Amino acid sequence: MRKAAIFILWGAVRLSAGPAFDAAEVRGLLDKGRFTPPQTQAALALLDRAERGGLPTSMLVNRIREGIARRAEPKAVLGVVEDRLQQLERADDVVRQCAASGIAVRERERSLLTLADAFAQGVTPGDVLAILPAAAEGKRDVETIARAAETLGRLARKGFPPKDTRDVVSAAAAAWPADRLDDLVGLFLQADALRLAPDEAREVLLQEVRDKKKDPGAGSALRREQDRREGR
Amino acid sequence: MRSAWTAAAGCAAALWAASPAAGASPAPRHRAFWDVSLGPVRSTNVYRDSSEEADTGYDLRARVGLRSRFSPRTFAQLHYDLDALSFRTANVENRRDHAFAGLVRHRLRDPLTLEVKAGLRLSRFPNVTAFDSTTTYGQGALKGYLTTRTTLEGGLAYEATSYPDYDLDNHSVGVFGTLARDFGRRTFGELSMAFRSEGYSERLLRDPTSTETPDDPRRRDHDWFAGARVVRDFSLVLQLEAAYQYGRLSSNGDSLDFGPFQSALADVPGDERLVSDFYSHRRHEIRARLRRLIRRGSSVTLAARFQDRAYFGRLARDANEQFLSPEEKRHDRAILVSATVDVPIPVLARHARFGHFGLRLRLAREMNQSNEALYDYGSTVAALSFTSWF
Repeated sequence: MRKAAIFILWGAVRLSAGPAFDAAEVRGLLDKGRFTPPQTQAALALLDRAERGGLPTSMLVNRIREGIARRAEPKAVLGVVEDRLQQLERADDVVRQCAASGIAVRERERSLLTLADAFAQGVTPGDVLAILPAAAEGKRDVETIARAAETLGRLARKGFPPKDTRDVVSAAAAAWPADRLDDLVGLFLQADALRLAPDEAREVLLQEVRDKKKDPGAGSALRREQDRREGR
Repeated sequence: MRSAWTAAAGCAAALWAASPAAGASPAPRHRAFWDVSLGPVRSTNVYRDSSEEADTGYDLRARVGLRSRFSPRTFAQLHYDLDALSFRTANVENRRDHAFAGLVRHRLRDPLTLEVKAGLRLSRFPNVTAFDSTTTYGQGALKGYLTTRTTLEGGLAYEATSYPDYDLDNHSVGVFGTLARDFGRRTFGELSMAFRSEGYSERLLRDPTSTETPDDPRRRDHDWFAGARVVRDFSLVLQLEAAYQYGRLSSNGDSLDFGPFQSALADVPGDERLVSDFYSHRRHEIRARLRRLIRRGSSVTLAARFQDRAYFGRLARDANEQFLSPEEKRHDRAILVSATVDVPIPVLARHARFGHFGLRLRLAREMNQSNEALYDYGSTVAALSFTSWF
């Protein structure tokens, strides 16, 4: 019953999401950017595809506007828009699966954008889907999933591939408030400074997540590890 | 040397004893590890004294070992360290240290952990073999949680060093303790103290009346310190650590000064002088370290240390090895500042299947202001190292 309600809610949100783009305005913009007629057609087709999928087209239009302002080649702008659309479509798939897993979908558009950003940083839908079971059990919403994906992306940018961070991010997504997930970037850097191997870091950080769930101000597992390493 | 093997055997026995009983679960997990840095080093003052001999050499620090978790309650580590510093021309103090060590940590019950360490260190000076020494050491400590955020640790330590060709053989017994507290809000603090009693079996006192045991007039030191350390995380990637320590060494050791002519006693008798309380001193030390973590394998660390050391009986000498006139007790004030940058090697960091491969640049400047001319010096060190750990 709950799942059915979430589906209905998700469908309603989806229909209302992604305000239609103004084709005439976009044509004017593309003319200004010296897009050829076939390139203009391709851009409009991408926007149309996004609109039909209920994806935020305004964000794609902004990408075109930015590209033109930077005097980028129309071909390059089209490539960026197509990549972004694919990231949004993958994000949409993840949001659907969240809904199917009983995870509440609120702030869909914002979550789509956050997820798409994470995919742009090398995170895969598989990395994010691995987080869903724990998050569903912890009764988290899709915004938390998106923040977790964003954290995976930030960690990847700092040199920690998702395969080494997924378990810890998943545990934290299930146990911590969404706004604390950013802390994981610093915690992974601290573990790296202790020269912990990936599996050792995973073990210590999972303990850290458990400790901080019980008591956010509790003694740190990392601190204990640091003391041991330094012989204190 | 015999005690070295005893310590090594004790360590192995402790490891064996820490193994779980047959059939216990989970299975032990073992992990090999290494931590290496190797590279050129340039010093403007290799001997860190007024000689100010500059030279370029290399510095190698390597640790390889095995960490084992026998059960959730028992952890053990065995490792070998090689520490080598070698300069081309200012090479008198070139050295190589080899160390073998092991530790076992076992949780006796939930808030109480026992840790036992033992090791053997061989220090070798290829150009001054008289300084070669062998050290064995062992330490046992108990650490318990007084509250969920407060720990108390205390233990006993033993160390013995022998010099086959030098009369500085010594052994020491010590106690130490640390009270630590996590204050929350990313602040951690600790108070610590240690006391060590050292005996020098080959150092007979020149003045037998200065010892409490006239039948056995040998040098004996009592060294203790008390300190406080605070660590503050301004954010999860920016950490400031500050510490203060007061230390005091009380020694009955004395020294014979051969007088203005620095002659052997038989040549010009009568100008020699016995300097008592030669080693006793007190020291204040303040340390600070700021570390910024940037990305995996990248960090910047700035550190500073100030130490004020004043001797109670040791008279300062001028550049001609004569006591200052009027006489002054030796007093040193040292400042050390350093900056260290670690970065990963881009290609290796991306393609290595495991481990870290990086570069480290370290710049350090030391200034020691002393009324003893030999130790009034400045020194700058620049080192670039290849680093790797796993």
